[in-house]
Amino acid sequence: MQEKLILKKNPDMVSRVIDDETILMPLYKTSDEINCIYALNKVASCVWGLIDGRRELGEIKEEILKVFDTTPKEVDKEMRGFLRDLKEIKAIKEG
Amino acid sequence: MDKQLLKRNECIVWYNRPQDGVIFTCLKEKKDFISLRGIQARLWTQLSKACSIGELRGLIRKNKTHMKYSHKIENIIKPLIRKGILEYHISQRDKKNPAFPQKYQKYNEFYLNLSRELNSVKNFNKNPNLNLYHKNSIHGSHRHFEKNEVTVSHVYREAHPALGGMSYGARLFRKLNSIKKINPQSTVVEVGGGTGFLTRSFLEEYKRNNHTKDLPRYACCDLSFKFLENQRDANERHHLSYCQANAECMPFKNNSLDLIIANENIADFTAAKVNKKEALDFLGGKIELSAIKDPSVRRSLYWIKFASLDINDATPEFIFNLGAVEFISRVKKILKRGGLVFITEYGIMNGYPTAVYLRGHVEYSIQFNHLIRVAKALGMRVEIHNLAEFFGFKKNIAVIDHCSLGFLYNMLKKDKIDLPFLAYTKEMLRQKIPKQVRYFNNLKFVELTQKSVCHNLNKFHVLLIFKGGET
Repeated sequence: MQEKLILKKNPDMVSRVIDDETILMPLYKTSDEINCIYALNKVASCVWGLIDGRRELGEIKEEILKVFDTTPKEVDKEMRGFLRDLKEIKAIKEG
Repeated sequence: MDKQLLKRNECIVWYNRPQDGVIFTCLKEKKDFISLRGIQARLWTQLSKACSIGELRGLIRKNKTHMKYSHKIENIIKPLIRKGILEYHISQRDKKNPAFPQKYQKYNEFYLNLSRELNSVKNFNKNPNLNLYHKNSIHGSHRHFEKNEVTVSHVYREAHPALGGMSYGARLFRKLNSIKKINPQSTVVEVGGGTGFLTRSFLEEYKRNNHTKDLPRYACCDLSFKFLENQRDANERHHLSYCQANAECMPFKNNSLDLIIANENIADFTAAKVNKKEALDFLGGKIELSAIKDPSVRRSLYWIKFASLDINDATPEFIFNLGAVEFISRVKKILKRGGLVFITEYGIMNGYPTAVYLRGHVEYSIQFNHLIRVAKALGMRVEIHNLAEFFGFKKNIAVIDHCSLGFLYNMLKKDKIDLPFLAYTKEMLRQKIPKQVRYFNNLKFVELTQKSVCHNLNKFHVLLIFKGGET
């Protein structure tokens, strides 16, 4: 994982927290494409909340380690997969 | 076709007019009604239970007057099916939204709210000016709260079993008096008092409770002159003050009021459309407030920053309850220390305000979390309650639903009977129109937890704001 990388959210991606679950919905798709609702798990929700166009990935990882009882290796693995998914759905870009 | 089962749409309410046997039916989703005469009325009567067209044909043949129609029965039925009052098998209530797959039902509400937010933003600039509407387009009749915007306080304006035999206004007095004692020395301002019913029952309960005729100093503040006239007429017995003004900048002296009541009106206050990118640029220090041209956006951004509102979850453009926020800022100035503001309105705790399209105007639901944060940032204490719980509505009491009441009201009007628009229980209706009620069929009565006569009470919140000091 590139620790110095800074990521920005796509402003066309709306996120809301519903019953402790973060939901993402891209607005660039048409309303009848209901498959484009994405639900994030707890770690992913936390990462999403920390992406602000200013923090480096290394800082986000440190924050995650403070909140969750996990190892740096596990966080690396989880974040890598999650960020790849977010890039695929155009929810984030390098800032 | 003869074997297919035919039945009445279960959602249909109908009125069998006694003088001529004409049946009027009302569709739940379409508020207009359809009249059935002659053979159509006869068919409707026969369909008290589901039956096949063959059976129906047999029944018609037994009647000499209608016998001639038996071979045309399909032609008579088809338009009734098209209109939706008759149907094959499937009840409308059982139909699921096919556009929404089962696995996503959980997110249905989120999806619908988001769609509403986007549509509200899209249509924002097309909406008429709310201030001008309230100043010039209200004709001051209590019909306004029956036709244009039905309010909870209006349909519960008379003693009601759901409120333990009290009216909404009387109950409000009891609740507020238990929080902050109201006496002849108290100064009270009621904002947007509409027809004046609430004021009247509030003050009547005050007199009963305090065993006195000495009223608190009570002023009604309204943007609409017509409504002020109504409030004055409804309270002829009481010596009140009346003030035509915009509540967002009420002209009362600083530190002069003990209690302010804003009952079901802050959704009518000014709303602003804010661009998220511009807002984030401002919050991130990239642009100055002075660079923003639109004054309502400029003021909105000021308040968003002042109360540290998180707008990261907003759509690219969103609606902000600017008027409601500025109302709170104004009351902070005009309330005495220890003063109280009572606000109730429909709204949300998360997400962003959405447009509610009413006859003649558009208003916006209230984002209560934003108001709470602004009040706290102004140094005031707040309490938020669900309206039904605050007033102690008995949720298991069933009252008439909106469609049924509208139909009843319109049908009786045709017969020159003026039925007051209230949240009737079955018993109340039997007492009000004992002769007529038996001609109405399938009227729906639903518990208060569901969308009944006008609203789903669960969507209404009560916000109490306390200005620091002795209470």
